[in-house]
Amino acid sequence: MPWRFVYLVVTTLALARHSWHFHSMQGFAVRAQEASPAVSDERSLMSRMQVSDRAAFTALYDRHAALVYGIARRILNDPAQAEDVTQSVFTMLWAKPEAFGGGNFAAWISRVARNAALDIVRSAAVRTREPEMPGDVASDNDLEDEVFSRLQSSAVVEALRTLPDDQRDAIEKAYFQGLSYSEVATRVGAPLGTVKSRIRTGLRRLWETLQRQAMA
Amino acid sequence: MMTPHDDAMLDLVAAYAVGAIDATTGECAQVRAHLAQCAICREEFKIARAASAAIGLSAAQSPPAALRDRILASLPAKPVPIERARRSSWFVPAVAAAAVLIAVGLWWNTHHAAQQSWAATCAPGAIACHASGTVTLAGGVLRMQITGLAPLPAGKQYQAWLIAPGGAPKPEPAFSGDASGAGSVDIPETPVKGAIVAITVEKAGGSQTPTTKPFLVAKLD
Repeated sequence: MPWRFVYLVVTTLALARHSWHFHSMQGFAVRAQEASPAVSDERSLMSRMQVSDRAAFTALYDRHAALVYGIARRILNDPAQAEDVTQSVFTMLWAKPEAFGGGNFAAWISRVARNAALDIVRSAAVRTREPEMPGDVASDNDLEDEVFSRLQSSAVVEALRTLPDDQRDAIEKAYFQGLSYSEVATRVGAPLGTVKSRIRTGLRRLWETLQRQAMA
Repeated sequence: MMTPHDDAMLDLVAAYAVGAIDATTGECAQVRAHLAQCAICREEFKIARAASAAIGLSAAQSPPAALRDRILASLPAKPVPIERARRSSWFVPAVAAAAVLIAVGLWWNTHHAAQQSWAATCAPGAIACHASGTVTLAGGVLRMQITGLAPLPAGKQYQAWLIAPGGAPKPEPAFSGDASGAGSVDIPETPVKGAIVAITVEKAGGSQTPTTKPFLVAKLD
């Protein structure tokens, strides 16, 4: 059954335009004048996937399975269900590689995994989150390239620890529990504006911390 | 005309980037419209979105090695387009059923010229929707028949809404699907042209205004 969720998630993704221009204002991107080897390599792997290249699939699995499985496991808190989601996501990828419409592959497959896992947590018939950023919001984000080409999971864990508890709690509830800011506000008993501000400030601080780490 | 930057939108943009806006509220559309015209908020969006991606990275954890073997072993020799794969199991009976329906429909139209029918399909963005249906208007009764309904948690029911062009959703009866995922609802209304019949999930007994996003809609053109 999760397989169907993922299939539907992917088939309804807005296929965003793909352009690789680099942003010059952010610390990570200042140093990045062209696509990182990892990013360009993934484009090549996805091209090979279009012609049923199992070696390309295996390489993509080895590179991203921990991301997919880890997100699903954190959301579902169930190893078996996390394996189901992982299998569903990669099976979909094999069957329908064209579902990836561009942008950062790791960021994309993260969102697919997150949505698939959250769909299991929440009622299958109800969705109150947008499935994916619509096509009119650019999905290309050179900053996402930087996240996945330069950062290690442990660095992000450490950066998250440095956030004030209320900010970390708000953004983790949003990301891993799929809660809207109004649902977070209800859970923590804080005003809506306060929660929105915590989310934004937390994301900003997280980003700035990661930048400092990358610069160090 | 360019929309001037509004600091008040920054928090909403960040919430949008991390998927923390309820898609049923209309705020997503508000954010998208603003992002299209405000460079400052687009920068905020990029940063918040990248930070959100990093949050996902923080959860990375190696899966069991056996999973890799299982997935690789389960791959078909060639990627079979999912639609084709699914078609193999249900396409022929579906075509047969469709042919029967068409034949019945032709007969029905011949004998009941007053009947009209419209297809009900999953709403855009209704990710977990596996349902489809038909709305018919015959003898003054508007009836939606649906298949593929997902089971609902206790205390929840499906509910129909009739939305006149430019109007607010009007609550119609709540109903449940049967064990096979089939359900139907009679809407005691005479719709105007262009009206929409929508289905949402609500508390048992129904709501006065929709509390979830419609997942199945039929436009009565």
